[in-house]
Amino acid sequence: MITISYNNKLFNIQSLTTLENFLKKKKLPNYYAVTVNRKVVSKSEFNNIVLQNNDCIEIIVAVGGG
Amino acid sequence: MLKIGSFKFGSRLILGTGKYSSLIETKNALSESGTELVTVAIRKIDFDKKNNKNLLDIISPKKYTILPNTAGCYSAKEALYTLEVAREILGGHNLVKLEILADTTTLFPNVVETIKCAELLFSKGFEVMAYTSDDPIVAKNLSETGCVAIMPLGSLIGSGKGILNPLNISLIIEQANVPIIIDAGIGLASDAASAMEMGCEAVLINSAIALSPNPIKMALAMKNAVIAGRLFYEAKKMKIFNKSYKANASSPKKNF
Repeated sequence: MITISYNNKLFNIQSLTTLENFLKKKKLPNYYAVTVNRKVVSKSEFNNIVLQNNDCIEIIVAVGGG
Repeated sequence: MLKIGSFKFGSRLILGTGKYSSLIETKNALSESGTELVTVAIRKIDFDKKNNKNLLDIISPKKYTILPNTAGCYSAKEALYTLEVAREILGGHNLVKLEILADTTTLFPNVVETIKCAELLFSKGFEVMAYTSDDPIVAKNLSETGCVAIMPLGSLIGSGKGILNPLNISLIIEQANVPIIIDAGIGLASDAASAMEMGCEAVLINSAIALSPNPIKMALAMKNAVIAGRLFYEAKKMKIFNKSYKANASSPKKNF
């Protein structure tokens, strides 16, 4: 098992879990971006990223702003 | 037709999407204003929020051109990261509003970081609209870095105090080779009209509409103010024949 942070909440997950498999179980909006350790990961790369212990995943969206 | 970089717009009113009481109100105000270009901020999703409707589910990128901003960024590094994230959210869209702040009290721009970041963004294929002060030299520098629009503040963000230094804005307009857009401080419809009369290519309004007790009606007021100001600018001011201050009848003087 490894521990990762997902939008500031900690999750224990199986080792060798890909980003794609982890996100499959999450409800995501239509327009979003994913960063892992503050690096943008394009959607085509999700399956190539194997999550590591202490990885920090963030889901980022557009919100109201001027 | 407003041309910003490779983009074209029928409306010269750009709207912010912050501070509205609901997403529905945002949607209705945008619709009433006739805007085609709307700014958004980029933030981590809040999974704890009860109403988890996403802004872009309501304000569709298929209907509006979305202009992601870097509000809240205090360095070129933060702004670059934010806009790379925005480009991923919007599927490669590259028109962005660069806004690097210097100070939490005034929200004045850090122009040194803004110029540095604009150069970086340009090299990465972004089309940059830059929020800046009303300093004509900084505006010129930003234009020389390749910014596709320069967005000086009229007065402090969210203050509604109008255009405090119209002479500086005029200097910026005179030397401009890209659109000049008043970005902050519009409070009254006459502020918006005044900016357009001076020759600004567009205005960006958020608080004046969102914080009005009637945002929908205010959106229409600002739409018409921008149209009136632009028409005035294109038609040009009347010729004044008398140098001294004298009345000059409009109706025939004979055959009364």
